[in-house]
Amino acid sequence: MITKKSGIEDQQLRVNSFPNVILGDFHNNITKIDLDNCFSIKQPKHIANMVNNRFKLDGYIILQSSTKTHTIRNEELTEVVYRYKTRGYHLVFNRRVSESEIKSILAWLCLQLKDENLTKWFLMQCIKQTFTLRIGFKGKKIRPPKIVYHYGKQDKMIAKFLDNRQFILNLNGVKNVKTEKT
Amino acid sequence: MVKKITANRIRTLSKQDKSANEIVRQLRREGRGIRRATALAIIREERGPKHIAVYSKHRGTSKRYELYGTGKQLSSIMIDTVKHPPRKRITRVSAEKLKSYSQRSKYIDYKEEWDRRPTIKS
Repeated sequence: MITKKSGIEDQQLRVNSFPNVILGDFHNNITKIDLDNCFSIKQPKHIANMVNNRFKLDGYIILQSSTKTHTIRNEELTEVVYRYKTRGYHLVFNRRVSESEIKSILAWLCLQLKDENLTKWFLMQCIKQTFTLRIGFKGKKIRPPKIVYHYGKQDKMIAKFLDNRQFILNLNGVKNVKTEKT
Repeated sequence: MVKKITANRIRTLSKQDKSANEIVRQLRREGRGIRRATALAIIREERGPKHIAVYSKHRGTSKRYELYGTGKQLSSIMIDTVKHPPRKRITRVSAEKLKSYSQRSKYIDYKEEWDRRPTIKS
């Protein structure tokens, strides 16, 4: 782990020691949802509450994964007219569920939201027969997802997920991950 | 053989997010001293294995390992899996199986390496 002294205490430069691969969690009894292109945290919060109440999943955590900058150019494609950012979020739920139940939950959500990215992700997971979420770095720059919100109990599957997450982060040499709780 | 009461006590303590050393110390205080190795076996049974996927691209095609096992077993394998791709496209193996080097060459392609900084859509 490399530390940098630049006024801010405990500022850490996190370096990916394995830039060629991605590390993730593929436990098939944890309900996981991958949401892309969200404008704010309100959207994943609303979806998480909806799923949590309908399927009685005890509680959830929201992880903020990566940001994407979109640019809109003029008709001649010479100048940038407008720039905006979207974020990706991961949702992890607490109750232990079977593989078929996860599929039914995600299929219901895909129908409700009609989100193309989510549907694509769900279909890819069905092809692979495992539900994978990224835990570690992506390439050299994109950092591991960080926890931004939690609600309800976190003693069962969330604890397991966080245990796996800590293991992978320790592999990378990141020991103290600051989690922002709101 | 571990007594049922001791085993149940270990299970309840491990649910409280206590480490193996803390559990052994706590049991000793309660007058139920137990060897660390036997306590660890019960704790691992209770917590279950870790599930970790290692995925990337090899010569343009996506490949992935799906590994499960205890932390110690997994960390010993990680050095190889992070460098070399699997022989098959999707390889699901327990970390215990890959313990021996002779078994490892069955699943891991030591002659090849992962693509450098690929663009992966997960």
